[in-house]
Amino acid sequence: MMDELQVFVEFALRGLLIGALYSLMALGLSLIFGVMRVINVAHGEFLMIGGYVAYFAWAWTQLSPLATLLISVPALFALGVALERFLVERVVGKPELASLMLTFGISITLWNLAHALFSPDPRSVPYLYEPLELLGIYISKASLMIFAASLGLAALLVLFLKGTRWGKAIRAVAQNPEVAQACGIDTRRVRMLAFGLGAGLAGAAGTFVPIQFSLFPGVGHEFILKAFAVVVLGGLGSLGGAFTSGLLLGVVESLITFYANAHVAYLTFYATIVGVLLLRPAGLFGTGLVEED
Amino acid sequence: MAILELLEVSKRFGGLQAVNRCSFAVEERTITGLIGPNGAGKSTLFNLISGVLRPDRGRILFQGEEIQGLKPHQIARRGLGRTFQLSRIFPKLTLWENLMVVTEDAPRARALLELAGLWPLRDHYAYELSFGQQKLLDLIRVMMLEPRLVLLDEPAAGINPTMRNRILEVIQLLNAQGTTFLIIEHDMDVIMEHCHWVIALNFGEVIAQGPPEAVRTDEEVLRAYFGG
Amino acid sequence: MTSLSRRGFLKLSGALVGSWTLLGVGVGRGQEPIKIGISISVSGRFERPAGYLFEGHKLWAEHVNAAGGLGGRPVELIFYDDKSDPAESVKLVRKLITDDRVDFLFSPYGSELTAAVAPTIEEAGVPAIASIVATMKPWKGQNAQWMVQFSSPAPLYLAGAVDLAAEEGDVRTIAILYEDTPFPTGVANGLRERAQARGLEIVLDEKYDKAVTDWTPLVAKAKARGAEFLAGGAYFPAAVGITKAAAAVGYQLKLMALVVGVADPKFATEMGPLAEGMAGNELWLKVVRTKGFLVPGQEITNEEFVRSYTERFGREPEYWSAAGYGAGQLLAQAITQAIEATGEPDRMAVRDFLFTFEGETIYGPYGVHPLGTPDAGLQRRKDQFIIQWQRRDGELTKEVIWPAAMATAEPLFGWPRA
Repeated sequence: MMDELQVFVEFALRGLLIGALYSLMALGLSLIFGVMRVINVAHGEFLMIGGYVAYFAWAWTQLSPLATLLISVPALFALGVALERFLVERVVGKPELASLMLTFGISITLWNLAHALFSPDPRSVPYLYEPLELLGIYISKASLMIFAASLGLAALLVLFLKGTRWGKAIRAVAQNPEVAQACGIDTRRVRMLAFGLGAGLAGAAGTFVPIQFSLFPGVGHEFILKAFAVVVLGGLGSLGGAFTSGLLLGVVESLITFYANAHVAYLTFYATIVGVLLLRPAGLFGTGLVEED
Repeated sequence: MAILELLEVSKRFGGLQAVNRCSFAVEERTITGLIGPNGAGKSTLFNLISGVLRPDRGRILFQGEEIQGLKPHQIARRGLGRTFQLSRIFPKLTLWENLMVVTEDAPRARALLELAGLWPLRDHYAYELSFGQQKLLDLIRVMMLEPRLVLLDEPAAGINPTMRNRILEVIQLLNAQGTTFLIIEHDMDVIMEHCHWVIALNFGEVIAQGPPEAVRTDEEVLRAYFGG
Repeated sequence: MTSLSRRGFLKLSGALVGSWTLLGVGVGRGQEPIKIGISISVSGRFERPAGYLFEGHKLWAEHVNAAGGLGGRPVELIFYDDKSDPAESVKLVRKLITDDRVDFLFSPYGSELTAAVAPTIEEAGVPAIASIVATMKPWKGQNAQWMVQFSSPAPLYLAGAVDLAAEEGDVRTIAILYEDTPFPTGVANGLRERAQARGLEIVLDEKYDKAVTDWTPLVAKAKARGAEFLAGGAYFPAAVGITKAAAAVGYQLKLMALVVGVADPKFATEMGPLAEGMAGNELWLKVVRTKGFLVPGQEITNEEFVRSYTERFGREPEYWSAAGYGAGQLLAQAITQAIEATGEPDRMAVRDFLFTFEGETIYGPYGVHPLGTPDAGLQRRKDQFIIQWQRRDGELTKEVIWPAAMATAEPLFGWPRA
C-alpha cells in the first residue's frame, strides 16, 4: 500500500496531465463560440478525424507520432475552413438552434463516414508508454509529452492571438463584429480562420488520442461531453477559462475515480454542466482572451 | 466638390419607410451635421452609407464611385469610416491593439494616441477607460484607416463638458488636417459652433439643408422638433 | 431475367433446404436414419459463422456414418435456411418438429436465434443442444428440461484464469475491472465467484461506464490497492486501454487477464512487447489438446478433426466449426448410451444423458446444471481456454496455458515481461 499523500499527489498529477488534452479541445470549442456564437457539436468528430489522420500518417510514414501533428493540424484546419465556408457560414447570426442542428448533422455525417471508411475497429499507437518514476510516482512519458505539447500549442495560440494582425482581428470580431467590420476587418474570413483554428486544435487533441487512449469512430462522443463541461465551467468564449478548467476537471476526474469510482467521475462532467448553468452561468473564470465580458 | 453623394436613396423596414428618396451631398473637408428628431432615419442612413444595410433603391457615391452593395469592411477600406452611437471599442484589446487591429501602422497609431492624449494609457485594456476616453478611442481608431470621410454618431453625447470639448477639439484638428466629417448630433450648440453645413431629416426625408444659422431658423425644422 | 426464370429462381432459393445423409460403407441399408433437425442461417447477417457451424455438423455426420452410424442407423441432418431471422427460425423449428418429425435438434446459430426458439423446443419436448450460444437467458432460472448449453456463458469466459492464478501463480489478491454492460458484467460475476471459491482477496471490484476512454485512474487504483492479478475488461478497446494504462502507471503484476480483446491477433500487433505475458480467453483453438467420442470404441482428437475438416472443406476450421462438431459428438454419445439402455434412441434417455453427463469433446469440457434445478441445462464446466501471448523464436505466439492438461505451453507469471 502506498502512502496516502503520495497516492493523492499521483492521481492529481495524472489528472492534470490528461486535463491538458481536455483543455486543448475546449480551447477550439471556445474560440469558435467566441467568434461565431456557434456551438460546434461536431467538435468531437473533428478530434476523431484528427486522430485518424495522425494515425494513418504514423502507420504509413513511420513518422514519430508527435511529428504527425504537422499533418493532422493543417488537415483539420483545411477541413474546418472548408466546412465553415460552405456550411457553417450560412447559420452565423441565425438562432442557436440552426447552428446546433447544422453542426449536429455534420457530427453524424462525419461519424458515419468514419465508420464506413475506417471500420469500427479501435486503433492505438504504441508510443512512450513506459513510465517515468519520481519519488515513487509513476507517470507515463506519453502523458508528459502530451501535456507539454498541449501547453506548447496553447502558448502558440496565445502568441498568435496577441501578436499577429489576424490574431487581433479574431479577438476584435469576437468582441464586436459590427465594429470590426467598420474597422475594415473582413469578418467572414476571420470566421473561416477561427473555425479552421478551432478544428486544428481539435485535430491536435485527436492526434494524442491513439497514443493515450484508443481511437475509434465514436470516440468523439466521449470527448465532446467533457469538452462542453470544461467550456461551460470556464465561461463560454473564454480561452483562459477553458484552459484552466480543462486542467481542473482533469484533476477532479482522476481524484474522484480514485476516491469514489469511475461512474461518479463520469457523472461529474454532467453535474458540472448542470451546476454551473444553474449557479454561475458565466462560468468560473470571467476574464477571457477572446471574448467580451 | 462632393466627397459623398446620395441619390434618391430609399429603405423600408416592413411597413416603415425609414428613408425616403433621400438626396444630399457632403462637401469635401467640411464638418457636416445631420440633425432630426428621434426616428427621423439618421442612424439608418449611417447604416446605409457604411454598408451595414443595403438601400432598396437609389445610389450612394463615395469619391465619385458607387458603393451601395459593397460589404462594410470593403467600404471601410476605401476610406469611409464610422463610429457608433454607443462607443464601441474592443474592451479586451489594449488601446494599442485597438488601433493596430485596424492597420499595422505604428507611427500613425502613436501620433493618434498622442493627439488624443491617450498615449500614456496605450497598454491598458480599453474597458479600463472612462466613457469619454472610450469615445476618443473610438474616434482615433476610425482614423487608423486614413479615412477621407468619417461618420460620427453622437460623438459628444452623454459625457462631461471637459471631455466633450476635448473630443470636439480633436475633431476640429483632424478636420483641419483634411478629414471630412458627417456628424449626427442633437446638441444644437455643438452644431452651431462646429458645423459648416447642416442637413435636417424628418420621416426619412431631407426637409432642409444649408448653413447652420439658416437651418436653425427654418420653419419646417422648427415644426419637426417642436411640433405645431 | 425473364419473369419465368425469376420465379424459378425464387422457388429454388425457397427450396434451399435439404437433408444431409451420407450413407457410409458400414451402415445397414434400409435402416431408418436418426433425424436431427436444424434451422441454420444459410443467408443473412449470420451467414459466415453459421456456415462454419454447419460445416462442423456436416463433418460430424459424415464421420459417424462412415464409421457405421449409431446402433447401425445412419444420422441425417435436416435443415432449412432461417435467413438469420428469429421469427423465421421459430417457424422452421416448429416445422422440423411437426412435419419432419426429427428426433433431435441442434440450435440455430447464436444467442439471438436460440433464445427465440427455446420456448418452442421446451414446449415440444425435443432434446436439443444449443451449440454456440453465450447468453444465459434460455436457462437462468428457467427450469429448462430439453435444451442444454454446449458453449460457454459469460461467467465462464475468464474464470479459468483465476484457477490458473491460484494454482500455479501463487496469487493472493485480485482486482476486477469491468464495463457496466451485460456481457462484461457476466464475465466479472464469473471471476468474482471463482475468486471467492479459490480464496483470493478481491482488493478492487469496480465497474466503469462504457464511455470510458482513459483507464489509467482505474488501473492506478488497482495498483495502489496492491492487486497482484488484474482481470476483467470488456472488448478490444478495453484490452488495449487497460494494458497501456498498466504500463503507464508502472504496474508490475503477476498476471493480467482481459476478456475478448487480448485474444484478438490485432492485440499482439498493436501492443508489441506489452502483449507478451498478457492472458486472454479463447473458446477453442486449433492447437488445443482435446479429444472425444466419435462412435462406440472410437475417439477423435482435435488434431485429427482439424486435419479432416481442412481436407473436406478446403479451409481451416474456426471455433464455430469445432462447436458444431463437438455438439455432434455429445449427441452421438447420448444416443449411443440411450440405445444401449433402451434399445433405441429414446428421447427421454438422451435428454437425461445430456443433463447429467460430464465429459469432454474436441471443443473442450462439458457439463450442465442438472434437471430439477433452476438453471438446469446451463453450461457450467466449459471454462474457456486461457491463452497467453508468449515469445517463441522472437515471434509473439498465442499459447494455451490453461487447463493444464490441454495446454500448449507453460504459463508465464510476471508482467510486463520487458
